[in-house]
This record gives sequence, structure tokens and C-alpha cells, in this order.
Amino acid sequence: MKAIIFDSGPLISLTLNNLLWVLEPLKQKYKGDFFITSAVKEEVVDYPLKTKKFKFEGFQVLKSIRDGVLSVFETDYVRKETGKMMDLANNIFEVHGKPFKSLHYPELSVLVAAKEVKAEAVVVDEQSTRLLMENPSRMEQLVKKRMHAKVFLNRQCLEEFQSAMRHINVIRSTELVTIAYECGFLNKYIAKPTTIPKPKEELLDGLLWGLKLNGCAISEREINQILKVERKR
Amino acid sequence: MDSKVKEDIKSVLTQLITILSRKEQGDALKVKELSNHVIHNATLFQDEDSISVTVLVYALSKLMESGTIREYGEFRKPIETAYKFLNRNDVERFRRRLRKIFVLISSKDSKLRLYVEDVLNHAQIRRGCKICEHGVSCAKSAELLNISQWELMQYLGKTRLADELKSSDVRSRLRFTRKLFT
Repeated sequence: MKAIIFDSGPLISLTLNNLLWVLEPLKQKYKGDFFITSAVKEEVVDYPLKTKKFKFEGFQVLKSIRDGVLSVFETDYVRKETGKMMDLANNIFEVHGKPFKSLHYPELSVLVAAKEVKAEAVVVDEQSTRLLMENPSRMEQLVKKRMHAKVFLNRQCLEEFQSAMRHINVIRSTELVTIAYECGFLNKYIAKPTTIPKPKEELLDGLLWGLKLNGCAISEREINQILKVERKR
Repeated sequence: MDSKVKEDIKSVLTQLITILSRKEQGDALKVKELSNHVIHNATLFQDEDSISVTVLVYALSKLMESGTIREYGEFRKPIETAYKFLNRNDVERFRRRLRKIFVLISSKDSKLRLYVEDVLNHAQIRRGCKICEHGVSCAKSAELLNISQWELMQYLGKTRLADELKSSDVRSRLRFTRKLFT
């Protein structure tokens, strides 16, 4: 199925940077579906609508759903399988004889939904989910360093988890916005060279740093690498 | 309550009571370091008690730092009582006492109240970030600290957490994303 599934983080990073609108032209270009699970909707819409601080941001994401840019995807399979994935993922590492519970229902529901619809990618900004999928040994080192304790790795759980997540590709809001930039969707923000030298590059720099400073787990080094790639295009 | 968590909380409260019993320079920093000590248990056990204690201790450190709390006795006594309940294994009363201390912090002064509520909220967010640094996901950390992911991500972005890890293969990820949209 031609689909991309979003975790909460990218929607939050994009909204806080006034970039949620970019999903619409991206979706038109993609010619597929942009999904979120109901657990993600609860986090980015239902919860903030009950608060004061991010209520308007919740409304903005809700509008994207109402306008059909994002669709809520929920099945019995997602509900049941997410529970199983939680048991697996949260038993991969053990510290002091206790399972190290690093992942939560919403982010795992995204991965399970991606598996069910055979999505082409999931968009995940936060670090732990990506690390567990892409580099579990690095995750192990991180936990060991931070917890100042030995970490036991349950290989069977890890292998089962990795096998389940095998064909799922992870991208971030930063990659999405870079593609939007390449497609010219953000050209309206390019200033004249008399206002700022290298306006296109400065715009992309601003976009990526904005996303980073609002929670996308991208390093300064990675931002510089993206800028370098775009300079050569 | 897990026995290790209980012993750890008792140890933290004992040290906190000692600090609050004598007024010395650097008290706020000592209390803040105490809060960091509880974070390991908060991360591992993800239990309500470790999280409450870490937030409470951190919030106290910020209020001490800003000079909002000058007389420690007002907080030392209820903390001593909380300790006694915990020592007696009366977990329910211990938790009620902690809640009363939170209310005490919030109700100090009507002018200060907003500031103090802000401090408590800030303490929750800071502790949430600390838990994220230990490898727990954003969503999980937000749930444990009873805050929204929106608040946590805003704060997380300003830390150096993402910079501490080895970079992923940005070029491949970008190439892959580009292919999705062509």
C-alpha cells in the first residue's frame, strides 16, 4: 500500500514550526496516504484540546485530519499486535534484573500499522524508537552509560522484534521538509540576496534547526551534512 | 512498592532532611544532585513514587535556588513525616504526605503561586528530559511525568541529546525519502 505513517513527534515538530501545511503538497506529490493511528491522534489532538497551552496546535492537527491530509488508521490487528510488540520491545534490555521499558503504546502502534498496510515508511522524530530499530547495540550502550549499570540483552526478544520490523523504513520530519524544500514548496520564504546572502541555504538551515530545536532528534552534524548535500544539487 | 525503590527513596529523604536541617551555602545544588540520583530508579522502575520524589526534590532545589524558600523548617517537618510513614511501610500515608507537600509548595503565596506552579511544571518537564536521556521514548517519558509530549519535545530540542549519538546515514535516508516523492 502506498502509505506513510506518522508518529506524534514529527507532527509536533512541524506544527511548532508552522510547517504542518507542508504535508498537503507533499501528499499530493506522494499520491498515497498519510496515516496516523488513534493512539497518536490522542496525543497530538485529543490531549492538547483539553489543555490551555497547546490547544490551538491541537486544532491545527485536527484540521489536517478533517481536510483529509492525515487519516486515522485503526484496526483490531493494530490494537492486539501493539500489545504484543510492547511485551517484546520492553523486554529486549534488562537492568538490575528488571525489564527496561523504553517504548510506549503510541510509537509501537505506528510500527504495527506500518507492518499491516506494508507502508513505505514511518516518520519518527524521537530517538529511542529509531535506535531500537536501526541500531540496538547503540541503544544498549546508551542505556548502560546512563544507568551506570550492566545491561542484559535478550537476544530472542531482539531478534523477534527486528524480524517483525524488518521492512519498515524510518524517516524524520527533517528529511520530509528537505524534500519539500527541494520541490519548491517553501520558495515563498526565500529572501532576496540583498536581504541575506545565500538565501536558499539559509532558509534550509533555518528549517532544519527549527525542527531540531522543537524536538526532532537530529544532530548538528547531520544538519550540516544535509546542507552540504543540498549545496551540491 | 519495590523494596529497592523504597530503600532508595528513604536514603534520598534522609539526605534531604539533613540538608534542610542546616542552612549552608550550596544547599540548592546538593538538593538538585539528590534529584538526579532518584532519576535512575524513576527510569528503570517507572513507578509513581520515584517520579513524584524526583519532581518534588528538583522543584525544591529550584525554589531554594531562587530564594523563594528561605525557611527550611516548613518543608523539613512534612518530609520527616513522609519518611516516618515510609519507614513504617505505610505507603499510602507516605504518598498522601507527598501530595500535601506539593500542595504546600503550590499554596505558599498567591503571588508566588503561578511561579511555583510553573516551577513544578518545569520540574516535570526537566525530569522527563532526563528520563529520555536514559533511553526511554518521548511518549513514555511524557506519560510517566504526566505532561504532554508537546511540552517535552519543545524542551528536548534544546538539549544536546541528539548530538551525543553517532550520526545516522543522512545521505541514504535523504535519498530514500526523495525516491518516495518521485
